[in-house]
Amino acid sequence: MISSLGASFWALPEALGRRANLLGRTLSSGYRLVVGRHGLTAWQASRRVLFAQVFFTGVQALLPICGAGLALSGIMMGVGYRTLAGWGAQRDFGDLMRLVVLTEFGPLLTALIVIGRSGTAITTELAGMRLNHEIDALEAHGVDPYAYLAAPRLFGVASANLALTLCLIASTYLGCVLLAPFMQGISMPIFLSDLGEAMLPEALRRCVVKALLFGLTIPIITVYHGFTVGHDINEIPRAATRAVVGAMSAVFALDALVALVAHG
Amino acid sequence: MAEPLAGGALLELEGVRGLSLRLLPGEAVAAVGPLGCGKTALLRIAAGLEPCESGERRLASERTAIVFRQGGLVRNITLADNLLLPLYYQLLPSSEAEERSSAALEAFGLAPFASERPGGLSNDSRILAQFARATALGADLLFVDDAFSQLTRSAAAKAERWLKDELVKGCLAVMMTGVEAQAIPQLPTRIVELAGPGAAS
Repeated sequence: MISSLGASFWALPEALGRRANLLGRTLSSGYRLVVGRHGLTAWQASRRVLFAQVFFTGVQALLPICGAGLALSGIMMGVGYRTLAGWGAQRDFGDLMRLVVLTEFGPLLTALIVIGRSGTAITTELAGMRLNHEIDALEAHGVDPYAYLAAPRLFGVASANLALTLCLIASTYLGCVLLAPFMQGISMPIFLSDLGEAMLPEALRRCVVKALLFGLTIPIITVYHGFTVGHDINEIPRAATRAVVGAMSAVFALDALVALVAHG
Repeated sequence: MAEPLAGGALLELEGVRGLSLRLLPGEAVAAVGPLGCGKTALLRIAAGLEPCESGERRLASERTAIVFRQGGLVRNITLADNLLLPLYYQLLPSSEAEERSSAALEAFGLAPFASERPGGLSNDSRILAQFARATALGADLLFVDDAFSQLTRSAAAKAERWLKDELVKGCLAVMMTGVEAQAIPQLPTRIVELAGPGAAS
């Protein structure tokens, strides 16, 4: 009883430590790659993996991200603007957009889409590579799997997540502007000026920080679960589920942490 | 940088899963035994893919290679890139790496498939490509995990011929596994029989 309580107590720091170890090894391998310790051709091979990751996570997700942004604009105008207008506070819509879209739902919704789309793909791909002895073969032949597999995914997902967050926010604002003429009693110049004035640099900074934090957290967790899969093929879907739940929990926890720190 | 071992040995195992052996250049050793007796586990420890929980493993080789009976090649890159990748990490100039990779593929009759991905190739080609990778790398220590039982007779003969040549030249040491001694190529091979889970006799 006491030992199982003790084991549960140490499970979280141990799990965090393992992921921190993966982050450290990936960053150190990425650094060695970039400064040329592995040579130019190894860097070029990893760069191809990086571009493929950015293409898959970023470019191919543009449509669902813009769709989500437009859907969010419908919610913001349909619920947010109408509610504020009912209270006679429609001039505060810009502030609502800043708080809800720019600093909260923009980064969070993007991260959830990236987890669902790319996070699962990373875990299942790497787990398949582990079971197919591809990672063993890389290690046995002197290829650093952290440089060739983990680092391109870390930097690819982080940069794509930041770009996608900005795209989602831009499409939400665009959707609101497109929907505004259909709302009753709205003055477009005042509406546009309220939106622009409320977009504070501090909010934009917080959005970028969150997008980068989420973008680094997602690949760390999904790569970890892909690398550490067991030797049974049934482990792959389990690893993918663990990766999704772990990444979502981490993103929510980080979101709460950033909110607490930012608001004192 | 690996420390040199006494007598020029490339690999020494001492009490690893109950087994002790020394492997010198030009020597071949095969661990044979029934399914589940721990052959692959022993080979993975020897190759440094698993930690050595009991006993001691010492390695003096700088260029090890491994041939798996299944998989072992990165599926989303071409066969040529599978051979080139380890050479890039050896800091070889790309022209030399490409030369060595092409020559190795040619030697195993795989040149026509150089731009194919492993998934589109036969099992024979995939296993021979791993031998070609060892050739391109200039491996001095090769681990072969029960690959010969998966090869057709002609492909096995090709791999066996290459192994014999390299062993005669004295520039390679080989550690193999197999379910039975007949599945091991006819080389001057020391056979180690693994009787039960983790035990050697």
